[in-house]
Amino acid sequence: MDLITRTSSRIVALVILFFGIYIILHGHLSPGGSFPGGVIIASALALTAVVFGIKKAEMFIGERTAHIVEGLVALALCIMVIFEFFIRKMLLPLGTQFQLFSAWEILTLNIVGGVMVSMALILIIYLMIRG
Amino acid sequence: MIGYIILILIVATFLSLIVRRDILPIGAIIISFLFLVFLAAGSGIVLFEFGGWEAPFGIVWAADKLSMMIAMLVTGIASLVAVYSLRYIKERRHRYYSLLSLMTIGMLGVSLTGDIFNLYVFFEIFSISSYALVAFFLDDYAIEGAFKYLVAGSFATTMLLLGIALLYGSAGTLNMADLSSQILQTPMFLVPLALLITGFGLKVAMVPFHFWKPDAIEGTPSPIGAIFTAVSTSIGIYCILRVLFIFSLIELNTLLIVFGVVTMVVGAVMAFMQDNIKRLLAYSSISQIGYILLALGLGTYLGISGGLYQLLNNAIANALLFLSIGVVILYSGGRERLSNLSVKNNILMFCFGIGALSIIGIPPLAGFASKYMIYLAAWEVSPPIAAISIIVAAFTLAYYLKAFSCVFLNPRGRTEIKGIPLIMLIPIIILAALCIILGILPHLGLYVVEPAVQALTNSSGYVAAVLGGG
Amino acid sequence: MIAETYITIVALIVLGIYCLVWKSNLVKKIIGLGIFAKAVHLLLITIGFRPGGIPPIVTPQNLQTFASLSVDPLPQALVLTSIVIDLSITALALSIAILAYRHFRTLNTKNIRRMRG
Repeated sequence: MDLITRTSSRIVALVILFFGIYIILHGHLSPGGSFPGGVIIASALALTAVVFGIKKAEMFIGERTAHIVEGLVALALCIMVIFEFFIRKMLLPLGTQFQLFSAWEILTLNIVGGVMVSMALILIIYLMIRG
Repeated sequence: MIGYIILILIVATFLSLIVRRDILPIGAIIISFLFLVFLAAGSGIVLFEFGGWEAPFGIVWAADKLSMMIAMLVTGIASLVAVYSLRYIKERRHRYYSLLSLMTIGMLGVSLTGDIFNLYVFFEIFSISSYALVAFFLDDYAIEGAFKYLVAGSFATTMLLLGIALLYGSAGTLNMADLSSQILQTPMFLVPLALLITGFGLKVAMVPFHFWKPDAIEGTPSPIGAIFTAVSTSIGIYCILRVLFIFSLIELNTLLIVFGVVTMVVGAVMAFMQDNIKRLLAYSSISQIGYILLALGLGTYLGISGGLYQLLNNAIANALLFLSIGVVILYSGGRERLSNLSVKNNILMFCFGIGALSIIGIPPLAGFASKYMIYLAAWEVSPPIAAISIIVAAFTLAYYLKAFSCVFLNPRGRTEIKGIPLIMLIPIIILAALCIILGILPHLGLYVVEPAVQALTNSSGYVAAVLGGG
Repeated sequence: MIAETYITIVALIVLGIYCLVWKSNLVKKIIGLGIFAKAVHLLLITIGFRPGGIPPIVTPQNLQTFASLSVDPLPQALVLTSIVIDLSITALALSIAILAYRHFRTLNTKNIRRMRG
């Protein structure tokens, strides 16, 4: 890729990454949540992989790591679901507007789900680029 | 209670991707089968409310006897296939097993849920994992079949989503019991129902929509072919039945009869012309689906029980045929053409013969009882249809005779199969024994089928049980 | 406003099905599938829409009037679920198309053996 793309995407990728994290963290207060946030995070990595090459992208997170993290996070999600809905039998709480740390259960579910989605998409991107 | 089954299966799927132990998904599928048998022995409708939300508001799983029968069929055949595949699949086995258990999750969810959008979601889980399983071998046939199946299947599921959207727009609810109490018999409701039936019909492979099935089955591993012909069609037929009866649209019966007869005839004629053994079995299963649709369309009590019994027998016999033909193909080096596939093994010959005779409907075997019920029911409604179905049975006999004599009786270029591993033989022998036992004692099968028929015809009881809370 | 949306939805559905059935390029078929699915998503959202409705976010201020003012949140949840499913189907379809290209050296269904459906 040429100089302009490389220089600008160095900044833009970071911005996209932080925007994804923001979307995940505010999932219980505003539209968004784990899936859109995870997709945005993965798109930051896709930009890196397209512009700087797949080697550079794998320095951030490798394929093997993504595999393992995704499996672990999926298991954690299962355990949380068992705990929340089958044992405690409680409904999810309502968040307070403009307060980040207001609904712990939804926040943790969102973070776990976001990590899972982004890992899955990163795996898909790697597989597709390699062919 | 039934929510836990899915949870066990999901945990096993994800764990098996990390630790790569095949025993986890196999064990989970077998455990869920035993659990369902235990649940089905109880009486009434089993309800499970997710998150404690009550019926019209939250997602509710409601398992009546019909759902239980289908769910037991799914997990039973899936556990036999899972055990069998231990020796059939040589490489990337952890992926195969996680996809297989994902497919089981999808089919189980479809058969147990009481919410129509949840049904769509589980239908998609089942479809996506089955597309991936069709493409599992990654050779030319597999990729071609997988793409065809993917396009047809996702077209079908998008149709389903369209139908569900229109239903929600006109009735304002997604719970199936609530929908059936809100529904008005106006022409407006026929549009979403037509979309739903088209979508499910594409999955069942009834005749105008059957083009994907032979190609998909030609490319799959044989055990997955067993699941396709035996179980996934049962799921599609279950969905059609659920939709028709929950909306008490018995007038659509004529349509089912027409589709059934056409499917039956076209499937049999196409099967006769095939040269590839897997394609022949695929067309034969399409033809058998015609019988089931016809019997269910007749609408009489005898017809419905004959149809559901035929569903059960057809699943067992088709699974038996595919599992035994899988051993044949595996040991003769991947050859599938009838002209050069010829083996010698007495056990396989016996089991394949039992399966074929049961599908044709020869008296001492399982298929006879159900086919006889279908003939009787068809004779009551209109004698020409009964005559057509008997002629199609003769066709079935003809093409199975051709396949049997080509594979097992042809003396030229014969390969002798020796030392089949026990883990592959046991599922085949269990299925063959089921065929014989159900043939000698048909009331054992009716013991499972009768409550399902009663649950199906008593749709107001279903609505009352779901909306009344459990 | 709503009438135009419905016309758009019908046009998109027809376009998607046309693209899915009559185009012979694998990638174009996948695009057609995507258009069809997106049209259905748009239909779901439009069914839940109410002119002048507020976004379905519950706050202490609008707790009393929420049900009478907001648009229907259920179709939005359904569409989110359906988008995730659509994403996985598209990913699988594209990877099968990549494999098909590598095996047959073409993306045209007319040149791929027997693949005409």
